[in-house]
Amino acid sequence: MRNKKGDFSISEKTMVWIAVAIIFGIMAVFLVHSIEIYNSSLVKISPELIETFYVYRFLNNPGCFAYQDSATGRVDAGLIDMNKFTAGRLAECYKTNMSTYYNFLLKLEKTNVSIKTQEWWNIVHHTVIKNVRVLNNGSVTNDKMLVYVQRRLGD
Amino acid sequence: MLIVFEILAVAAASSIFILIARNAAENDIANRMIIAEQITMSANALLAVPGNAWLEFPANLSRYTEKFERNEVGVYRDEASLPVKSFFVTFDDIWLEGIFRNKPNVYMIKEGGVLRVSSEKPRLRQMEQVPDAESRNAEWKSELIMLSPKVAEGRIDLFVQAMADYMKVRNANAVQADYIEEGKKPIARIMVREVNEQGVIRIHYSQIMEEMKNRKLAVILGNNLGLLEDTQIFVASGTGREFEYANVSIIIDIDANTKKRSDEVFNAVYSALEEYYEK
Repeated sequence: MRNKKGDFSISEKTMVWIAVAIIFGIMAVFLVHSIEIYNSSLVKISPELIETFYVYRFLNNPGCFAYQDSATGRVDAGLIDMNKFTAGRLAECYKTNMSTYYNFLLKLEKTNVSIKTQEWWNIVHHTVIKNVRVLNNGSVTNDKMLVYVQRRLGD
Repeated sequence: MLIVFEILAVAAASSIFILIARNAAENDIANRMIIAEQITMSANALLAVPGNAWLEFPANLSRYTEKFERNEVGVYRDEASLPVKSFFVTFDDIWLEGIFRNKPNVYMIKEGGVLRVSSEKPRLRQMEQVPDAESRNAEWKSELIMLSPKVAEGRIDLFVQAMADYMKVRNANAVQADYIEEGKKPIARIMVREVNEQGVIRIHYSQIMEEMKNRKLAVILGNNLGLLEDTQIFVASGTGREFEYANVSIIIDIDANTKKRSDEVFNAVYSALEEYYEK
């Protein structure tokens, strides 16, 4: 558009439209972002539920700490075999890396033995307490397993 | 000229919003996120059970492609689209691999400690029968014996005597299952006897019934058995098909050579059960 001198200029109205376009653009981006956040909130799974599955893996799976009869193959879920309760075993049954969301410190209260996953940074977000039985040198005792949970930082 | 510009601006703004609305309506990111998360949770659930298990993903997945790669699953609308991914933590030697293109059913299977994914319904091996606790390699040998007063002609004293008899009879293969009814509620009593190589007998006695009644029994048993060493009593509650129940368990280590000790235990159990039934 030319002014009276013949130069190009931008009228006030055009400026208003440009501003409106920018505002609309920002609103559009905001709208898209809101929809994404809403979608995420629809499918968010409670961290406590996820932690529970991991805790039960530690307690019930013979690949972790559950006692398994070598002759019958029968697994005694919830019976912690102290021969298995080592950091090495934990690293096998819960393989962590830098991007692992959940890390754990497991402590048997009475037995007073603790093990932790590799990326445990001593930041406790939640603690799960489970009554367990512990098999140690052929005798079974009742104990409590304290599972300290370190969630993904920022969660 | 200005009017044309204004009309174009309005049209552009409207188009942007219509485009966003259409994308939002057609977009199935939420669906794919749900699928990815549920697959992850399924893997975690399977790794949390002690034995073999499988589960069918509870939705038709024929619109999507699922790609399993080590410890992540990506759900695609089509292969050109960006996937929605979810991650799980596996065992050191368990990795999931495979691509399932527009398969309606996906099954996750845990067999022999190995986790795998398949579009075919699994046929798991039959559970191997547990041998009759005769192996000398096993540190503890276990038998599951279910008894009830009905087995012992409805008399609690005979029932307790039967418990004592089963304890005394080493390597008994008898397995009995029975229920009695209290009102209309079934009650199961379970006794597990374990013997180690040193001849120490361990009795697990469990009674499953309504929670409050079991708690009452647990308290009575606790009072009667509390003074004995190595006796552990605990109550765990759960949900049955028809009612909330609890499982009261006693674990007692008995030296088979010490008659006095076993007498103490059975006198205590006898008294507790008698008190519970107000005999």
